[in-house]
Amino acid sequence: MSTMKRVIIGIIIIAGLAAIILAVDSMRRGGTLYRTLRDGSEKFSGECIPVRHGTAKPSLFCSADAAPLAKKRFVDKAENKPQEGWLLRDAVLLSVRAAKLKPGTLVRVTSSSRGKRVELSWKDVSDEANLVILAPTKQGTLKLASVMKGLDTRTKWVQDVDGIEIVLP
Amino acid sequence: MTARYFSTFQLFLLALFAALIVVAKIALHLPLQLSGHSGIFWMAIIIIAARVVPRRGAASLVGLTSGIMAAFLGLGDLGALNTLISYAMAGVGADLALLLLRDPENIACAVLAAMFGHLCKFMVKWVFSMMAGAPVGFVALGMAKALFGYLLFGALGGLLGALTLRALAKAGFFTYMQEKK
Repeated sequence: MSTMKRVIIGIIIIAGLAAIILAVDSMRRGGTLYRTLRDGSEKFSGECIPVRHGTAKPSLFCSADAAPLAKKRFVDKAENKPQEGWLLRDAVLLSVRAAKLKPGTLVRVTSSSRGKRVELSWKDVSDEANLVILAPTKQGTLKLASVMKGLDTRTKWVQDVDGIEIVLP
Repeated sequence: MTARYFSTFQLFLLALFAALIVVAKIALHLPLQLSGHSGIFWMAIIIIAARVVPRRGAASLVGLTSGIMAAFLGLGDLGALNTLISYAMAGVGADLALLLLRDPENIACAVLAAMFGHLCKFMVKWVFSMMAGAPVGFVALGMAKALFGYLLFGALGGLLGALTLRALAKAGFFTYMQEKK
């Protein structure tokens, strides 16, 4: 075999390995390739989300609870992709009476799988202009997204939300 | 009496190359915020070692020995086992590539062998980071960028190694080595 052929085979092997590494990594981390290949619509079909608000037993926010709520949408400025979901405000109000919620009340949204946590004041959550929404994903989970300053980028959003906590003052 | 695979002189040389890799890792720092930039030194040394001791397994032995030394010195960011395996795999990868490419004095062959060796090291780190669930520096930087960095600096190391080998050949080093064998 000539050196040229060996070099070409070497290049193919290295390029192939590099492509495999990038593809596996993208699939693992839900990257572009994962999103391109994965079929399915964005639907809240995952587990119910516990909403803790000082009582012994948390309330649950399930897909059946979400169904009657009005959906809101905005366009993600980074990827120019529409984000549609239910207002976090409406989800919270299903569990806690409005009278109990003061402007200083804190709403914590967490994702244990992603190791993310966002703490918002009720004033920000209840302001409809902030569009703090729980948007369903292709994986059937919910992600917290918003246009509010400080929470308007994907890195700040909370994907795979699995807990909401209301901290009453 | 059966002939030994590596002569004592060759083993000395390989041990010196291994020590040189560890010293290069500790002492030589490039002001580059790119992952894998130290590969420019050690892949050059591994390629040189593979030609100076023209036996299959020479690069692997250099990798393994430098891995043992580096593990004892506490180098690396994911513990001693990761350091040992990743250093060793850089040598094993270069050896495997040279099985196909054969001539480390050929620039293209040396570049590809060094790229493959460095890619093997990258894969070890990547697999360890997946198993440990801990984000390694290069993952935080972005996988594609980190992978590109490793391939680029591996290639530059291979180029540096091949150019050094050519200079050594011109200076008559390999003729001298034939006599020392």
